Parts: sequence; C-alpha cells; structure tokens
Amino acid sequence: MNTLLLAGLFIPLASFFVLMFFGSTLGRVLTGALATLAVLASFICFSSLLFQDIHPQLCNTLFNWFHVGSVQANFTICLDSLSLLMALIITGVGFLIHLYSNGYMDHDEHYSRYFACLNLFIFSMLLLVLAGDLAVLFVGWEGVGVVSYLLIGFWYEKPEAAKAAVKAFVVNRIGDLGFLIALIMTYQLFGTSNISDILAKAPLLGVGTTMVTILTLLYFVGAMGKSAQLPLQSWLPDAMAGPTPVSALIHAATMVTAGVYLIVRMHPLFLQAPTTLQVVGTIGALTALYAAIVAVKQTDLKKVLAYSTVSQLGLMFMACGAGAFYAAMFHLTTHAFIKALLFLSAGNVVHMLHGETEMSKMGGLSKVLPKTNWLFLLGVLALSGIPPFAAFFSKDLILEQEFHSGHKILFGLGLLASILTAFYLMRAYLLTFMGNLRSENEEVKEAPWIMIGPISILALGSILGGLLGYPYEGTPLLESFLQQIKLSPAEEMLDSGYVMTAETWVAVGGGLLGLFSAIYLYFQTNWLQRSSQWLKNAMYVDWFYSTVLVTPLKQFSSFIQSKVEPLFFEGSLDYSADKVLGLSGLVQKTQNSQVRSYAAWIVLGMGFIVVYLLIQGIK
Amino acid sequence: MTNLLLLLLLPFVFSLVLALLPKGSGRFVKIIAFIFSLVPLALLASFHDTWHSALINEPWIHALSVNFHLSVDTLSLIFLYIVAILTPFTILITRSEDYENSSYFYALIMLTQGLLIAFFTSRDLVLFTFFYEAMLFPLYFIIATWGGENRKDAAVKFLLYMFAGSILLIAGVLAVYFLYGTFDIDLIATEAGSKGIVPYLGWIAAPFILAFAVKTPLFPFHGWLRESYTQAPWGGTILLSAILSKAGIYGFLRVGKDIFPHYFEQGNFILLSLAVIGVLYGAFAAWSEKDFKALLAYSSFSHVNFILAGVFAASSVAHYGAVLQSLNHALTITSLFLVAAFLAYQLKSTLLAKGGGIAKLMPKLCWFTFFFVLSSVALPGLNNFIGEVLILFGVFSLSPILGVMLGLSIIFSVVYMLRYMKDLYFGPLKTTVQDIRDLSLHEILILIPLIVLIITLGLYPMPILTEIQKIFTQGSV
Repeated sequence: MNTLLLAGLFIPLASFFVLMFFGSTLGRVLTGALATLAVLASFICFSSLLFQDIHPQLCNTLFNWFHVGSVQANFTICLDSLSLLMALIITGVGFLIHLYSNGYMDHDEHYSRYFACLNLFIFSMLLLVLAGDLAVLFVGWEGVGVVSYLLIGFWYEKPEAAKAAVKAFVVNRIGDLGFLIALIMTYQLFGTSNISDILAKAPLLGVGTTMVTILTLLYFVGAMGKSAQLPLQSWLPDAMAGPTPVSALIHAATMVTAGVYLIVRMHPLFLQAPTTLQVVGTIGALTALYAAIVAVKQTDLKKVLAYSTVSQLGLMFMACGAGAFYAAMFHLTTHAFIKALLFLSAGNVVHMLHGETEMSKMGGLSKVLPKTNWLFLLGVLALSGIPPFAAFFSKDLILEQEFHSGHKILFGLGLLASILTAFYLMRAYLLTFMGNLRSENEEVKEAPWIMIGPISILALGSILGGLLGYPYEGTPLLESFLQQIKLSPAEEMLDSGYVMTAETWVAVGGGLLGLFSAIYLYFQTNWLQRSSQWLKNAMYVDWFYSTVLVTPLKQFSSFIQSKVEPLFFEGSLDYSADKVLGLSGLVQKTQNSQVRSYAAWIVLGMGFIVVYLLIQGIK
Repeated sequence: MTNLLLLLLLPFVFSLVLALLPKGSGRFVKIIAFIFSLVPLALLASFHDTWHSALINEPWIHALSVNFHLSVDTLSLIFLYIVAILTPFTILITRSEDYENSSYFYALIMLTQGLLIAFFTSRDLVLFTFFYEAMLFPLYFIIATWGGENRKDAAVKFLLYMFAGSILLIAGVLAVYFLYGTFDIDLIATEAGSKGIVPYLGWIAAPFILAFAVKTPLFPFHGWLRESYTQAPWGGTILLSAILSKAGIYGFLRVGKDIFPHYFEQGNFILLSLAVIGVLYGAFAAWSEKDFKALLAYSSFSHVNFILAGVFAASSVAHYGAVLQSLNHALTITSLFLVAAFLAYQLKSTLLAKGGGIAKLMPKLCWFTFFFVLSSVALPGLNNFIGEVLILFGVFSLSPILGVMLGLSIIFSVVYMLRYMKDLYFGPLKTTVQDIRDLSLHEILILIPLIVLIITLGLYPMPILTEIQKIFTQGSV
C-alpha cells in the first residue's frame, strides 16, 4: 500500500463529503479554502511521487470487487508514469481552477454545491487515470460524466442549462455503451479486466484479426463520446452552459481528454488493430477540421473555445492513429495549460460582464481588462503554434509524425486545421478586446488577484511547457519520462529531427498565415463580424440528429403511449374483462362493490384453508 | 424447525392482531405495524447461519402424497431477505392520517408478507401453488380499498388478469404429479435431473411460464401493470413492484432449476427475445409518460424484463446476475417510489407537468432522487451495475445482437430517467402549491438504509455473489 498514492486519490473525495454534508454551515471562505486545499494536498502527494521509484508501476489492490466465472475485477489502483503525468495535470490545473473559482463564484448562492461537485470531479478523474482495471476505470469514466452533468446543469433554473446537461449525459452514454460492450468482450477474450494482464495477452490475439478490430473500435466509440469526436461531438459546445471555470477544467483540460488517455493506456492493444488506428486517425483529422471550420463563425466566445477544444482533441486522436502516442500525450499536456488559460481569461471577461458571452456585446475590452487582454493574447499565440510557446512543440510534433509515417492526407488536414486555429483564435481575440468599447456596463474592471494569479501561472506553463518536449539533451524530458512505460515503440522508428525540418517551417508559416489573415480581415473588412448561419449552427448537425434520430424515436415512444398501450394492451384487457364479467352477469355489479364482497368470500375461505394448513403442519 | 415455523407464522399472527386493534389509533397502529414488519428481518438475520438446515416436512394429505414441506436454501434465503428488508418501507411510506381503518391496511400488508414467506419456502407443489395464488387477495383489497380514483376497476382487472394467467397452473402441477408421482419439489428435482427431457415436457412447462410471466410481468403480459401500479396506494405500489414481481422471478428460477432443469440450462430464445423487447418497450413507454408514478412503473417493467433476460439466457453467469438483480431492483425501485411519494405528497399530484424547478424548494429531495436515479441507470460503483454486466455478459455470449439490444437500455434508461429529473426538479419554478417543505429528518432516516445498501452492494458485492454461486452448483444442476 502506498499511502501517498491513496491519500492523493482520496483526499478530494473526503473533502467532497465534508462539503456535501456540512457545506451549508461552513461559510464561504472556509468552503472555498477547504476544497482548494484538498486539491493542493492531492497535488503535493503526486508531486512527491515524482521522486519515488515507481518503475514500472506501483499497484495497490484494495479488495476483490466481483468475481463470477470469467467476469472478474479487483479494485486496483495503479500508478505509472502515464497516470502520474495525468494525475499531475488533473490536480495541478485543478488546483489553479479551484483557486480561481473562489473569485469567480463569489456571488453565487450555491457556493458549497459548486465546490463539492468540483472536488468530486477531481476524485472521479483521478480514479479514471489511476485505475489498474478497466471496470474500475469505468467507475471513474461514468463518474466524471455524472459530475459533468451536475456542473453543466449547475444553474438548473435556466432551461437551456438543464437541457444541455441531459444532452451531455445521454451522448456520453452512447459512447459508454461502446465501452460497456467492449468490456464484456474483454471478459470473453481475456477472462479479466486487469489492464496489465490484458496488455500482456494482447499480442496473442494476432494483428488485425476481426476480434481485436471490433474490440478496439468499441473502446474507441467510448472515447468518441467522452472526447466529443465526430459523430458524438455535439454535446460539448452546449456544455458551455455551465460556469466558465467548469468549462476550463472539465470540458477542456481534463475530462474530455479521457478518450485520448484510454487509447494511449491501451495502446499495445490498439497496435494490434491497424484498421482501428486508421479509423481513429481519420475521425480525429476530420473532427479537427470540422470543428476548426465551425469555430470560425461562432459568435459566442465560449463556443469558439469549445469548438477549439474539439478540434485540438481531434489532433490528439490523429496522432494516436499514426501510432504517435507520445506526441498525443505531449499535446494533451500543453493543451491542458493553454486551454485552461484561454477559458479562465474568457472567464474574467464573462464574469466582469455579468454572464455575457456574446462577442457582439464585447469589443474594446483591452482598455478595461489590460491584464486579461495580455493573458488571452498569450493563449492565442501559444495555441496557434507560434514558437517558442508550448503548443508549437507539441502540435508540430504531431504534424511531423503524420508526415513521416506516411499519412500525407492527414498531415494536410491537420495543417489546415491548425491554420484555421490561429485564424479563429485571433478573430475571437480581436472581436473581444480590440475596437471600441461596446459594453454599456460602466463598472467593468479588472479581475481580482485571486483570478489573475492562477491564470498567470497557467500562462507561465503555456510559455515554458514546450520545454518538456524540447530535445536539448538527447531525448526530451517528457519522452524519457513516458518511455518508462514504453509509450512510443512506433515513434522510435520515426525520425524526430525536429525544428529543422521543412514541415516545421510549413507549420509555423501556417500559424502566422492564420493570425495575419485574421488581423488583415479585421482591419480592412468587416468579414470577421459577418454572420454565417450555416457555420454558426455547426453545419446543422444537431438539426440532422434531431430530425433523423431523436424525433422518430420520440414519435415511436408517443405512439406506444397513446396507441399501443391504451388500445392494445390495456384495451384488450378491458375488453376481456367486460366479456368475462358480462358472461357472469356481473357487469353492473362491478359498479356497486359486489365483486368486492365476492372476493371477500374467497379470502374468508382462504383464511380457513390457511388455518387448516397450519394446524395440519404443526401437528 | 422452530425458527422456520416462527418465520412462517408470526406475520399471520401479526396480521390478525392488527386487524383486531381498535379503530382510530392511527399513529400508534403504524408504529406497531412497523415493528411487526421488522420481525422477519430480525429472525432472518439473527439465525442467518442456521437457515440451511431449517426444515418442516409433515405428511398432510396421504392419499395424494401432499406434504407440508417447507425448507430454506440459498435461493429461498435471498428472496426471503428481499421480502423482509422491503416490507417495512411499505408501512413507513403510508400516512395513517390519510386512511380510514389503516389497521386493516397494515394487516393486509402483513398477510402478504406471510404469504410470500410461505411461498418462498414451500417445497411441495400444492403449497407452492396455493400460496402463489393466495397473494392476489390482499393485494386486491389494498388496491380496491385505498387506491386512487379508478381503484375498483384497477383491482378487478388486476385480479382477473392474474387469474387468467394462472388458471392453467393447477393443470400443470397435476401433469408434473402424474409424470413424477409426487408433489415434493426436492424429489422431483432428483427425478427430473436423471430422467432428462420426456415427451410433452414443453407443454407441461407452459402453464408455469404463463403464470410467472403474468405476475412479473414479462412482455407482453403487462396489460394490468400501469393501472394497478398507478391506482394502488404508494405502499401497495412498492409491494407490487419491489416484492410481488419477485414472486414471478422466483417462480421461474425455482421451477426452472428443480422441475425443468434441462430447459433452464438450455435457455429459451423466444422468451429471451420477449424479455429483451420488454426492456426496450418499457423504456420507450416511460419516455413519453406524463404521470411520474406511471413512468416509474414502466421503468420497473423495463428492469424486471432485464432480470428475466438473465433468467432465460442459457448461461450460469446470467443466472447469477438475475438473482443479484432481483435484490438490486427491489432496493432501487423501492427507493424511487419512496422519493416519488414524498414529492407527490407535497405536490398533491403525480403529473410531471405539475413539477418544474422543484430543486429550489426541495434541494434535499432532489439530491436523494438523483442518487436513486443513478442507481437505476446502473452507474458503476452502485448496486445495479454488476448485476447488469453479468446478465449482459450471459446474453451477449449467446447472441451478440440481443446483447447489444439489451445494452441499448443503458442509453434509454438515462433518456427517460433524466427527463424525469429535468421535468420535475429543473427549469423555472412552476408549481402553485403553497407551503412545500423539503424532506424532514424522519423522511431522510427512512432513506438512509437504502442508500447504505445500494452503495455496499455496488462496491462490495462479493459476499452475496459467493452465496449466489452456490445456488446453481448445489442440488440437481
């Protein structure tokens, strides 16, 4: 038993329980402090584990969860460098966002409910990444879905928030069905859901067999739901109905990356299924491009960032598809910092404008929010892949790996998506911070230190994060760290002669092209402000689902309710009841309780029989 | 022997005592009834280790070789616990002040409890059938006397449907008697195991299947369900959904395991398909339902068909899952009806349209309801997950297509249960009812044991899983 590991996992849960039961009596300051410190404590636990030898992994089996034939799972918590990296991101970024929330939520009356849910989220997400068994992983997997539901619907009085929460849960469940069936197939094929055992036995399935292809595809369906990939992407933009720090933590930095984590965690299995990897790569690339195009004409600041998240997740899946798992994890890490930075900066704007998220109501905010202005701009540059900021290294690595592994088309799609990324982010920045002050609210002022502070730290991460993957001394730091679990056997084959290759310059050029074309269009034309209903409505994908899928199912359900049930099932019952009673000449008598007395006689008789039976029995 | 006799007799005695109590002592009667209803649980728990040797076997009607034969095995024990744990809740949810003659109401509940205990321990087909049929009468009176506006109609239909379902049961029992020369289930089990499949066995099994299919109910024998569940008083609804449905499931398992073991092992594809259809049908019916009591009724219907899918699948893993789910379903549906009743008492309606934004007025009730909804949608870590995985595993191994269809229920259950949450608790506040109050401490205390059980069974089901795995390894199978 490793105490640090278990403490890191369970402290946020303990804090959740305290807030849940005593939150109303604690008072605001104490509530926020407790929740924030719990995550900090957890972060410290995991940081200290950096200095322990955990190679190859540190496993604690807490108890035997269930065991029926080949369906069996132990409640196992495992730490290796991959899960440690994830745990550090979750608790690190999580701590900063908790801290920020102390400022952001200061006027909300449901303060303790908010922090309780946030703590529960940290616990569920940690359980997801620390699980040594797929069934335990599934507990965390669905757990984060539940908390996401609770937080999207945090302001439940608003009908759109309540609706978005349901949608997120349902779409996630579609993915979860894939996961569940994959889990059942796993029990059939391997007789266990222990991750190490499965990965050890994975080669026995053979490369490219139907079974392994179906199995991995089903796990990928689960990943698509959680990570909002086509065609299960539509819940994420709606999820922006929740508080902005929640969007930063759950719907950008951590939960939505769970799908990427799952594939990286199970990569030896996925490497057995080349077809699946192709599907993963293609869906990732298409999603990256689709979301980037749609983001160009969003008018809601948070939705731009939401589509941007979908797009960046697409890039990570594209990397997984090419076998570049390390690159995917690297981008996941830098993206966590940058996207949290962008969301929290946007949060300052939204907070100071009292909940306004429409960019048409913004503009000129650089004058009143000078610090936020610079922080947001930094985030824009960082995610656009401008050197020397973090995403330059990670995104470039993905594109390079695509190119060198022969996925030329995917490379092209990825490049296009990243040009668009720079474009729509710059557009969002310009519309929000440049130009004339459009807000009528005169009291807009810069956010307090408790909000600016955490963002600044994230900004630092966005500037320096790339160094984790910079090969200044042989193998980059992050790569050698993840090498402990042999993350990149395929990648070792690929030359990463970095920074110098032609593709790198193409990628940087693409980023600059995106930025400057946005600036040009902003100052020379009004194209950026012009609306496009087709793109604003995300190419009417939602409309399509609702018309083709939801409405017919709902109509079928109403048909059962209004026709099948009353006319067929209950109707036939009424009919035969009438007939039976009619034959006995009892039709009228049902109305005046004669049947009751008839039944009473039966009961009376029965009572005698019971007594008789019992007497006989005792005798 | 003594313990079993006490377990069997006390509920009948209590029933009689309650019926004889003076009228008009509402609260006092409720307390007495509640204490009485806990006695079987106390007995079961305090002699937990000795039940396997409990036996009553006295000759009764010599000419027909009918014996007064009762005993307890693991299968019986699990269903006895279901009755013993959940009956007290049917009393707790009843508000004596609403009822005239509430002592009769409690007397009927105790009578049902006694009959169920007798049914779950009977080892003679005549007793088995007798107690199975006898359960209908107390329920008939509960619905007809204390039900909603259409209570009389609903009660008559309930009775007729149940009778129609089991009218041939006696013929089936007689056929088994002529085949094996005895009514004793244990003797038949030994015979049936060695004899194998004999001609017309399918025809003999049919009346049993029909009788249990109506009571559980299996799709499409649910015509009585909506009206009975909605018209019954809340205590009666819990009795019907949590406990009476288990009599049908127990019937399938007992008769399947002991009298028709070959069919049971082979499973039945048609019945399995009906159960899978029932799971989805119930979910679709619940989705558009306007009355939340009926919505939960259809949800219960969907879940019991999930259990039946486990019963009809030719897979021991699925059978284990079915037994585990019987307990889990009883816990979850009771919890859901309890919180729905608390809401209905405040809203004075069971229409979804009367809700909206209630979370603002009743935040505690909202949290409790949400927790039970999570249990109902089989969130991993809570009770229903493992049972459903076991059943899915069994069904999927037989037929991946049926397995996936059954799996679809995890999506649809979320669709209708979250609609239930959203329409009642979220959105702008709509209700015009004054003085809505949140859960009282007393009401919370009622819910706590259920929460503890739901979490315990979700995280640490091994003790009960170990027990369940003994059911189908001991005896004839």
